Amino acid sequence: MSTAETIEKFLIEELAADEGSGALDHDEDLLAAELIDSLGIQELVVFLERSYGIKVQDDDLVADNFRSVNAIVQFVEGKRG
Amino acid sequence: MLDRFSNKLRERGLKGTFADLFARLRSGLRSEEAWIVLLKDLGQVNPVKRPTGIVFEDIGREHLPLLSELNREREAEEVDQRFADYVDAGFHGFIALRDGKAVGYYWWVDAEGAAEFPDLRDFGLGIELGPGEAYGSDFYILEAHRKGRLAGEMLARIEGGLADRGYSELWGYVVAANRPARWLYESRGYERLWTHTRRKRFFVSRVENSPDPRTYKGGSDVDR
Repeated sequence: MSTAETIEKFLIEELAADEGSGALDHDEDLLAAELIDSLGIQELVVFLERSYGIKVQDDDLVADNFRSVNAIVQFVEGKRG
Repeated sequence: MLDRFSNKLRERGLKGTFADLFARLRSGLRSEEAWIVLLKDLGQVNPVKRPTGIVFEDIGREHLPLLSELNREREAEEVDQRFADYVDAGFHGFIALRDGKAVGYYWWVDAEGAAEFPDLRDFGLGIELGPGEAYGSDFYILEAHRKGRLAGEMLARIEGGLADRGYSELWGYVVAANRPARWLYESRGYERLWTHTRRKRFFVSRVENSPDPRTYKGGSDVDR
């Protein structure tokens, strides 16, 4: 499973479980869709840190890094770079 | 003083009481906390897509008993007096009600109340309210109600309520290390203007705003 697919799966199963969505466009605006709330961001950060061995700093919590699945992939790859 | 100590001893036990005392002593000797000063353009307010059905009202004296219940639930009864003082002083607030029970609140002032509002009077945040500007703080939601996007909905209602009253900008701050709160404001398009750092060394406090708020001309953020 690619990084994008893994992140998509996490978002659907953990953060959007009540949306009944089976798939997520990797460019979909997650903020506009209100998929990541203030507690969801904590879960997502823990997931990314554990899954990819990265350290997310407070200052990394900007909209551009989490706006879409592709943006998150880019952020993770940048951290691992 | 003795009463407070014996109450603490009863609530926290001997070990807990000394742990708290040690923590206070340590933070007096050396501590540092960063807050980020935020600004929201109230011309850009997006309503939430899936409202949860909370009732949202302006805080009046009649809401004080409900707020008191909320404070009791979070074991912060001492806050009751502050809220009564805020109402007496003419400060404004919003209360969120679910099934007739208070689940959250938010306080705000405009230029008229700014000089007396504790944050703006005492903290040295570098915020000076002009016409059409409001400052909000003390945003709280009961822990049991924090899931399910209530925070985003409350903030949207606050922004919409202030925009409807003719305000164009809303100021505030967030503790830099408070990730959920930081994300909440980020996701609703608040601009980061400057960092307010509070340092304590040997019980002497110092605050610093960087970049200097006096250089703020609009449209910048902490990275400039």
